[in-house]
Amino acid sequence: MPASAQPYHETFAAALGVLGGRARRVRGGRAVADAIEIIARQHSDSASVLYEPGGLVDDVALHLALRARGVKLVSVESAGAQPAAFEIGLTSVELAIAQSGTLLIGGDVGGWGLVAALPRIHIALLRTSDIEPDLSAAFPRFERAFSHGQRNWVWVSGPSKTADIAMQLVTGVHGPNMLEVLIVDDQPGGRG
Amino acid sequence: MSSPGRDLDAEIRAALTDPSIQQAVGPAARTVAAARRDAVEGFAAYDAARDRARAIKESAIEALPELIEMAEEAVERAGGTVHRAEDAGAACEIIVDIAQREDCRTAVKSKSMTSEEVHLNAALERAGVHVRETDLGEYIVQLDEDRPSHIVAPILHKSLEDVRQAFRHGLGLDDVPESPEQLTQLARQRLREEFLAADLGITGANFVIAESGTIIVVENEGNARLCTQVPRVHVALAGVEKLIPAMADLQPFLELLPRSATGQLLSVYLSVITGPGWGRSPLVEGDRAFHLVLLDNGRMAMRDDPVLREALCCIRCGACLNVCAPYQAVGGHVYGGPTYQSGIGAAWEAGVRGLDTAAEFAHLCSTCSRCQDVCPVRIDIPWMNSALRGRIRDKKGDGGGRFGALLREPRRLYETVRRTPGASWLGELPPVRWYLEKSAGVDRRRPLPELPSLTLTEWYEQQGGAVVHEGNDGARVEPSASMVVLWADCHTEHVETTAGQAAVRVLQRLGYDVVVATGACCGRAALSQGDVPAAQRQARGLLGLLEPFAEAGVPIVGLEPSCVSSVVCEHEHLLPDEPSAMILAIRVQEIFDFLNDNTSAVGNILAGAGAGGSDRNGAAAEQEVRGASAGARTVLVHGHCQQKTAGWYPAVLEVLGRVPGVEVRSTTAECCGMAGSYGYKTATYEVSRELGRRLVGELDDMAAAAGSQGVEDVLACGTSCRSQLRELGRTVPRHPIELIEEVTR
Ligand code: SF4
Ligand code: SF4
Repeated sequence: MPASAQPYHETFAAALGVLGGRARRVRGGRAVADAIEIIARQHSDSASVLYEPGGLVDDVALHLALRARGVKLVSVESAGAQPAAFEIGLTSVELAIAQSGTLLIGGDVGGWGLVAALPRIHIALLRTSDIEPDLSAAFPRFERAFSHGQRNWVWVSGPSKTADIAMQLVTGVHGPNMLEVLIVDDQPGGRG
Repeated sequence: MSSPGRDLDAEIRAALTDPSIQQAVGPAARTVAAARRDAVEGFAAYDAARDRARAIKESAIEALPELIEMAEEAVERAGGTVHRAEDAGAACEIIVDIAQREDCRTAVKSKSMTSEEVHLNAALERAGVHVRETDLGEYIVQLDEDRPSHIVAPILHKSLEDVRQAFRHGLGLDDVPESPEQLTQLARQRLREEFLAADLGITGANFVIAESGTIIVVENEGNARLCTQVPRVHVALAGVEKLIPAMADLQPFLELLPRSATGQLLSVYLSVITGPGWGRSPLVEGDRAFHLVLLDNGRMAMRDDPVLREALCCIRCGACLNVCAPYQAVGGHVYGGPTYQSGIGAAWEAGVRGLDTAAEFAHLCSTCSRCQDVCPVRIDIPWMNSALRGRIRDKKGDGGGRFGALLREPRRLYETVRRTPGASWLGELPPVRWYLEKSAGVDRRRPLPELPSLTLTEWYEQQGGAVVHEGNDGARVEPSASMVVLWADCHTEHVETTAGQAAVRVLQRLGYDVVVATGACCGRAALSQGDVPAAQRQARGLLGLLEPFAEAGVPIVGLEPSCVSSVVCEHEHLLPDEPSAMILAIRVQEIFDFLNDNTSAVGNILAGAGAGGSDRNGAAAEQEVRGASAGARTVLVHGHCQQKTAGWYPAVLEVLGRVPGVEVRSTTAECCGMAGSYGYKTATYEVSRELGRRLVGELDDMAAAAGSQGVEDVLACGTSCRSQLRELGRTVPRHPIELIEEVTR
């Protein structure tokens, strides 16, 4: 990517902000752990977080750092997990679209869909280099991954919403009412 | 299948006086329509995406049998099962059977018009499977035992109080929360329990990707995600028209659907689901199952129907409903069938339930064309409705008698009135009006047009001008380079002669030799009555009149937008095998479009306007010039529907905006409600009046806002817009060309 390219993470954060979500740029594993800890302590009595393995979430250092901070990470696949009982779900993201503030969460078989759908708060980890400016740039990347076998996805643009009742916008219907995106800067001196 | 006869007149009257409908539907529809407009205006590749989407849909419809097979194989490969359902009954049987074999007692369901179409819930309930609607709007509909009134926003017709009442009634609560926020949270709580307990999840699909067997579900709330991921069995029910070949084809639809539906860039959630691939779940023991039910229910027959085939391109965005003036006035329960609403709904109901069901409400379409303009896949909804109306008439064997025939050709009506001594006052006698109403459906409350003593061509001949009539003189006037043909449509020739005279003078001042051509009707009136053969005959007559000029490259201008757009937009449907119809369509222009193309010449004649100019007409002109030079004149302009759809309206505002000392303000109302014969017909008279009153209300507000500056003029290009405003408004509206004529004297 040329250094002259737009700082997509800023566009992304602004677009997501308009939709009622929040994106923050964090540098390094400690900062990610800090951010997750703050959210977990604010919103979960037991400071426990349901997660779907894969991508940035698999970072061993992150797991260790969270454990050291007293945040309990529970894999959705671990025996006895009760996904509906969690307040917070943590996933990584394959791809994002800056213009529309969209996350593309995908993969193949897995329980990750539930992690991003059931809890009230969804924390998503996103790499700076995975942000594309708009749909026409992101779509070919999505389609390539799709044709290589990643057949199940959910695209998320902000927290769950409805305007069904008297045309008034309400956030948080069936899906999460909070969407926190942590943008992990993997390109120092790059697009940003 | 025909439903018990509806009394649409009574339904219309009830809707027009129902406070909930009146307060909820119009404003909500307009809000969403405005959001759509903003979203597409901000999207540079909008038209390219529309073209691509339309092309993909057309080729998919063409290849439908192959795509169905392809999807079948792909879904099986992915570990799911495909079922083909020939009709509504078969779809229900298949899904009931799946539920029973998989031992499902409870189902959660996301919004799916297709499931409404086949009455799936009732079938499942009969089989002992409890179904819970989980989209908030549909949940409220279910609590209230109501019906959706909009394909995207099911409870567009309900006020907040109606919703609270639904919660009270449906949940048996005495006390329900006040705010939409709290009501939503209550629904979330209740529904979450049902999601977690459900055995079966039922969804529709916005698109089905044939190559991979993938379904795409677009939503904002997250309920469809839970329906597809929580229960152990997922059934997706989709009409066969939802198939597109490959994932690469999805992109333009993602660009268009959310923008058109709600003005969003993308909907909050887009689920991409292949087979039972959401796979192992901590909530489910063992494997999950996926079934795709592909529904025909008339769709393959629609594919073979030259008129209804286009409806299969519909992506159910609802944009056409939101801009539809009759829809805004009465809502989707009245202007709609059991499942689908508005103009596109008439085509769908005709396709899936039959002509009789469509016939119950199709005539509420005024063929104004506003919907066509906003349709992301450019479906020609007014054309489909006109053609459907023709079928309905043929089936009923109802041509409306001799007067009906006259209504289908305004020229003949006007000529008859002219030839009949005393007809103009005779026409207002109660027995005559009663007869007109009985025989031709002309509402007796609507005044008939008054005819001036001279037609436009009679006047022009008296002035020594060149005139051509249908069938005789066309060849006698030799085309020349400085020539313009003013085509006098039926209304301009017989009724709106003042506007016609103003047009002649303005064109002459621009230095043109003006020929006035008249005699042939464009076919618009016949088309809006559904008489396609008559419209074809008339279109051919008009072609004969104007062809020599069109072939010679002479510009042809018209005053009445609906007639001009009939030539430019409809004749290709009416005369598909006439190459010269294409040439005519290119040559014919609405007069302001033409003026806008002649910028510098128009600038020259307008240049003198503010400075005074010579006073040829005494006091009136003097007064006008004073007004203009005082710089204190606001004119209010209402665009004609077809003029807006065709994209000609900006030229009107542009040219008027260049008149010195004049400030131009445009209305936002979609339609005046008159729409040709729409305002004359008994069946639609009430709706027409209501729409007219709304426009007058807007004009009054604009005049009040202009306040101290004073409003002297209400301008409208459409003959029917003017007659509606003349009748309901407080001012006598004029054609904008009359203003141009006046200031360039
Ligand atoms: S043509 Fe006009 S009246 Fe008919 S469906 Fe479209 S917008 Fe509604
Ligand atoms: S006809 Fe066009 S505008 Fe109307 S719902 Fe279908 S796609 Fe949307």
